[in-house]
Amino acid sequence: MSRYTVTMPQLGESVTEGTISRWLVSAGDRVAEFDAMVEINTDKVDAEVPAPVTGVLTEILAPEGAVVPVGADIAVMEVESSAGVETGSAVAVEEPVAAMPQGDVPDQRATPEAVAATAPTPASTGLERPTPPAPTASSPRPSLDGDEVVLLTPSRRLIAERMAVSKATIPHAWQVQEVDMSGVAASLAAHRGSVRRQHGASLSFLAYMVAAAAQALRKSPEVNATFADDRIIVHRAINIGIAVGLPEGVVVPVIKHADQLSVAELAVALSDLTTRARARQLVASDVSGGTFTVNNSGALGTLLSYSVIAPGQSAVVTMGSVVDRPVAVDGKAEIRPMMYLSLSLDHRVMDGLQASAFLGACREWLEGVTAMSPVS
Amino acid sequence: MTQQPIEAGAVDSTVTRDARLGADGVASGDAPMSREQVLEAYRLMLQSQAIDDLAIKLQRLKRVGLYAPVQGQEAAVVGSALALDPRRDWLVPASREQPAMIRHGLPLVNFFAGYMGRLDSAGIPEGVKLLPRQQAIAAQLPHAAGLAWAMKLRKERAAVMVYCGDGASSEGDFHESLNLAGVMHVPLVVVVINNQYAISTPFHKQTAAQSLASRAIGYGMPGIAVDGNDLFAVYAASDDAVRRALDGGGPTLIECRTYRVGFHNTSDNPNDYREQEEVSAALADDPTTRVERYVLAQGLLSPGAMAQLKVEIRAELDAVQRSVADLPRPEADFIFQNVYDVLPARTEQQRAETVKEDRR
Repeated sequence: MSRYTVTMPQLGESVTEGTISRWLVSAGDRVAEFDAMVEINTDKVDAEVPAPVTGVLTEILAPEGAVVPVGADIAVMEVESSAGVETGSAVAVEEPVAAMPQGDVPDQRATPEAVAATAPTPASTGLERPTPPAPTASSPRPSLDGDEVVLLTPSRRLIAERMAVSKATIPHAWQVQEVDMSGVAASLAAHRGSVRRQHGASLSFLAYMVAAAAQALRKSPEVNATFADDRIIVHRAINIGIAVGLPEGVVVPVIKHADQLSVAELAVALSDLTTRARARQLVASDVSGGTFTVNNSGALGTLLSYSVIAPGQSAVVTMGSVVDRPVAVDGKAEIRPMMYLSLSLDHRVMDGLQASAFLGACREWLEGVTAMSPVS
Repeated sequence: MTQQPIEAGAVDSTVTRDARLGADGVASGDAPMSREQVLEAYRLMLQSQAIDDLAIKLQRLKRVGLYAPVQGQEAAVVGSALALDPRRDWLVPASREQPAMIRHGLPLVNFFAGYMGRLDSAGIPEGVKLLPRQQAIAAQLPHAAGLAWAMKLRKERAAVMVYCGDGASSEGDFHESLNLAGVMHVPLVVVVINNQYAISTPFHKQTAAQSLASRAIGYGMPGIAVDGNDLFAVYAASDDAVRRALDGGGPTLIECRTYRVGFHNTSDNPNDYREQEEVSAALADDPTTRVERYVLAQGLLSPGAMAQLKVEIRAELDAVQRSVADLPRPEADFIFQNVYDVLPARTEQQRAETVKEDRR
């Protein structure tokens, strides 16, 4: 028996996500290849999606009503190796994928089906319904001596498209709060050694930040949501994408159910994902299903940055650099490690009220940490 | 949807024979097709339905890029294509004439390879007188008119059959091609599959004319409108047109009035622009069901043999799509092949850059 992950297919050109309308089979059911398995609605088509292989549906990952990005996992099947399955499809899902710009859309080249989709078949030239080119901000400039023309790599192109879509469709708003990181710094100093010894992972400000964001999302579920034209889908799962900068483009591996992990466990997950991201060994499931993103631009000295929201998400929180600054404490100036914490939010989904409550909850969680707080 | 010869001086009303296959599967007039031809048509129609079914599933699994189903138009496509001799005549398809392309000699492997992105296996074999599927609306018509003119200039006894839809009849290419074909008196048969929708535009918003066949008057060629769901009527009109073309009688315009039961293509949601009632009405008059009733009533196939045929058709298609899935994918520079004999310098540079980019 082998495991086969069923993903959200791209049901039409320029379709980026689909809503699970109805599961036609239940977990535990046996299905044959091409049997109708799930009904999916998209902004272009409504379709019955057949089973990709013959086997047993063991787990439904995306419930009815869920809005799922193209390529994200929706179910798991157990496949009998003798069932005449093309192992190519099953194996290919586990192949390393190239850099992804955002956590919720894996590189479509990761699956053989996607290759067929992107290959220039006569049928997919789209001549009947041309997709308008992405709007460009400026016309090409005349070339100057010494100019180098750099062709877009696939990952750069994907980032470009997604950023343009985000900025063109999501009305971004921005808020900043300032966080006193003294307690977190004390906890970090107290536990860094033991976490390294016991878990082999390095504890960092980022692990605390992910924990703070995950707990704050529990209190402010409207921040963990997807805007879908006529409705807002609030996600119960708290899957936090972590932006990892790589020379060829940012990748966003996802920590699933981050709210159920301790700070130490988050440190382990972060070490694993960032190590594999830098080794270009992320697989499709690592970068799919994100519901919210944490960006640690402070690691490189940036104090404030206005991050772009990943399409399909409603907000991204960005940590600034932790810097010793004089602050007023009980009427006296003290030097404290301070951090600006900023939130880019989709103003269609929430207003300043909810955004401030979320940032405030993050700040309270971080400022509530002491050297004595448990991290495991 | 009955056979409607166009009443006008320029239209030759002798183009139509009284041949009908009604919704009840009962034929009237003279049956224009032999037993063997009816069985060939029935098999092609069943195969077309099975291809639609399989290709849509494969598209939903992203193994096929984009697919436009034939559903509802089988009699119009098969009935016309069967009037051709593939060894002699040329077929110029639009984008929804799958059974015509297969009947004309495109191997199933090449057919599926095109849809499944195995482009270097998707070519039309040498000797098959077929042009590639044309996705751009009406763009195949000038090629077809030119091809028919070439047959005439070369004094080859061959007809050219070209397909287009109701939407294409509003394009400039349609006018230019049919006008030229009329002036040059070339052996062309233009089959307009009027399926009532140009993607989402209904026929009454496409044209103020009652009939597309009536356009033939302006081009000085015979025009005939037939019930496109009637295999016999379509075949009889097409057979007449092909014979006339071969005999130096010039071009003919045939309008097959039918209905696109399926979506425009796999990226389309027809529920957005049409009512379910009209689809249900069309489904009640399925052209393949008409032929099936006829085949059973005439004893051309037993019910058991019919069931066996359907199983065989599906098994063959499934085996073909599996073998195609195992074919290699084209290299990036495939896109530069089969266009120029010698690549111009600038295009050669683009090819080199593409190869370099692909290897990164």
